[in-house]
Amino acid sequence: MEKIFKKFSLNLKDWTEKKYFQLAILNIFLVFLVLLKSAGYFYPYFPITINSIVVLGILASIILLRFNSKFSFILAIVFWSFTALFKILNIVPWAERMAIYSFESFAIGTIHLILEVIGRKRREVLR
Amino acid sequence: MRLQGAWDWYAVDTATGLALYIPYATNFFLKLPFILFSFLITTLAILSFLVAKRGMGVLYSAFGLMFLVGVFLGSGTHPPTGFLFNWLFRHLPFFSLFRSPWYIFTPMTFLSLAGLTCLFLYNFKSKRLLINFFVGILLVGNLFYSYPLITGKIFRPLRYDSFFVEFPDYVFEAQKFLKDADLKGRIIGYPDDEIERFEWGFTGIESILGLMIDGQTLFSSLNSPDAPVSRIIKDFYVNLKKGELNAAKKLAGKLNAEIIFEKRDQESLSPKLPSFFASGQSKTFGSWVFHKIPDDDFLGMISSAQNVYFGYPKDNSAKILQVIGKNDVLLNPDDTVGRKISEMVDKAGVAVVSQNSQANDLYDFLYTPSILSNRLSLRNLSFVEYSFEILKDGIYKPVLERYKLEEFGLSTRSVSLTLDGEPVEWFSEEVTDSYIRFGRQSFKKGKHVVKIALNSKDLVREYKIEGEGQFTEEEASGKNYLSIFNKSQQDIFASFPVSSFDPMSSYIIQFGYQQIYGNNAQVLMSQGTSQTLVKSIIERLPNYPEWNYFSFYFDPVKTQSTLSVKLAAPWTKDPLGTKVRYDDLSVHKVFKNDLILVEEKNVTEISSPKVRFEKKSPVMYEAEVSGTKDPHILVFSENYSPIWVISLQDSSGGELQLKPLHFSANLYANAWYIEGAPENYRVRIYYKRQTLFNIGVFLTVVSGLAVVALTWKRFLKNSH
Repeated sequence: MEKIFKKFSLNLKDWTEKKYFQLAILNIFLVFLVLLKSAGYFYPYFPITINSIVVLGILASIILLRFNSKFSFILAIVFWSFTALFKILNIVPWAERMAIYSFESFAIGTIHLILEVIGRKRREVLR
Repeated sequence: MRLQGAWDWYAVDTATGLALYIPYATNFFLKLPFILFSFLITTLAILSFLVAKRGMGVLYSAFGLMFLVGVFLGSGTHPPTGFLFNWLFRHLPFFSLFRSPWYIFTPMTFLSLAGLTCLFLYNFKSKRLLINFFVGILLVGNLFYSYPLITGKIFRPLRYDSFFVEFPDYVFEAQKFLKDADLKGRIIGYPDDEIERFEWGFTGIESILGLMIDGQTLFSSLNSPDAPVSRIIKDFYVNLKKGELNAAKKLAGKLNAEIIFEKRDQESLSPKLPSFFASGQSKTFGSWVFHKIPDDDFLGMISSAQNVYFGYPKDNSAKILQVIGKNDVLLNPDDTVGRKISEMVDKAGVAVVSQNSQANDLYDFLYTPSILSNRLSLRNLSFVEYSFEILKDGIYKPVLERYKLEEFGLSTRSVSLTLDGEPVEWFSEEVTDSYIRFGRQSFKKGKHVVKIALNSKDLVREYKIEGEGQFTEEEASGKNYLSIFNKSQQDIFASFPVSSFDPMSSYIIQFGYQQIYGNNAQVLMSQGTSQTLVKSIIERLPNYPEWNYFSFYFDPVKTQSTLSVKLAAPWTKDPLGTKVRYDDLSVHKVFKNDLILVEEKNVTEISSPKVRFEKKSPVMYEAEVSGTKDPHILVFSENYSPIWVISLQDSSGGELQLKPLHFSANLYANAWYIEGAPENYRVRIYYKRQTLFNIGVFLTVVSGLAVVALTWKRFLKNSH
């Protein structure tokens, strides 16, 4: 177990060092969004909500950290698990919020997958 | 995403917390095994993307996209994509067709979930035993999960609204009769409840005849009660219940109603149909009776207009339809197309519905939140004031509603009144069961007030004691009042029955009271039948130790019943009890009768040719018009829509290059102003959008045939 954890830590460290700049940008972007939300910017034309921060955060992480579509589907399944948990605990508003995040992650994942499939097909044609 | 979006699952009785329509829905919401199973399929579908193998991206993309579109469309205006759906609903043509998107689009969601679940299991195809076990669990689990479908609970057996309904034989006999009958007009149902609930179990929000025949039916609308045609239908029912049969017949003519469908097996509070209709031509099938409405005012779907009236005020002009003639047409004064036709405007008369001061006060009281300021005063019922605005100088005939005038001390022969303060007498020219038409009166342009003195009877006299307490008639300070003293543990009342109670009238209750000590005084209005209480309201009187006067209105439920006014001394925990004094109780009817002024024109009537029509289909009518002299108006009694188009042909069938102006008439119908037509011509009225439907049907059939042909071609190719 200790070995696995150590390996995971090392991998994570490697990955973090490689993506250090992108992670910094992503963090700044998220902090900036939270600040804009607290100041009520763009209201009422485009209200920045926690929901939009989550969606923009997923999109930014895909662009900056070069995640593939599986990342979004993993997020979707995580949010979906939390939906089930909150539903069992009868915390309905949280369950609904998690279901929405799950659907949004799924939507981003599907669109990403379609783009990947199109890209792959195009590469195959070029080859 | 868990396929639990049907709205009726979430309808709950707020008082008991129990499901209104789907009793088993709570199991799916609250029981752990059901909750867990509801997440299972979606979880497998999402997991399938994580175990996807290369080369199957297209299938995953297709099912993923299908899932997204299914959830987006199925959830309609709900979050998270409801804003987009709402935008499309308002801006994308035809998107509003999807009235109940959950039921229409959810098949996309569950087909995609099925596909993704299969793809998930396909990834483990090498582990056959595991897959078989999993599929077995899914199958058995689904059988348990959808137990209402398996056990038949979905049909709500043993409930009052069960789907197992055995239609009585007379329903089918009536259906046969209606199918064979040569109906020229519409069928209007009675009783007028918005929900039809039959003794034998069927419940519906539209006429049951809709299940049986293709003919047009009229009924109280649950979904659009304020539509112009719904308001006319409501007025028709009110006329029926009041026994104003002349007015009811006129409205039936304007609605093109030919038959009254009396449902004696419908659970309803409405009074019985007046015997006037029952005495005509009737056909009975068990508890269903079809009465022919006397055809004095019946015109048919297409007719020509003789007189034209602009009705004022626009929002209250439906009543004018009850007093104008068979061939007269009521026009909307704000109709920009109608107003454009200067010749028609010149020939048009004016009809004005006046404001009744007693009715206005009644409706102000009923439709404003309960406040003390409109109760702590006495109301003067010794007169009624009608105010109206005349828009052009002219000769008008006042028409007063006939309903129980004598009870207010008025005569049907003549009425003494003051017009703008000057005493005058109006003599009646025509008296029907609905209206009194007075002689010609000259009015100048401007606002006028007609004041009529009334003398209505007080409807309460003796009282009955309800409960244990002291009821004494005392005298002090020149007052002779009723004192009620209550030391018991329940409310006690002096109950005054209202004599000659008429549920079609509204009542005003006025009295003085003085609360000596104890609980607040209360007055209870109790309307009921021998079997049940129909309506009850309580007026809790403010705590006030001096003599105080109080008045309020009571609008009864329109059903045969009795009414009593109960003056209460409510019980109190205080051992001294409650003592209240009441005095000068009176109950009077409110004088709600309408006064309408119909202009008598001194210009010639509009040309009114003869019309003979034929219904080709619900979207196409053809008519022959003969005897045309001048410009004239054709009325088509279908709901107004600019999509109804008219085309004219001469008697030899050649197309006439005329473009009649299209506007609304009789508040709901279509009318065309036709100018320059030959003496005899033919008309075709067509619902233009039907062409789109026909194109849609054609494309669907052609697409279906093409798919079959291509599949067959591929099959032949593969078999070689």
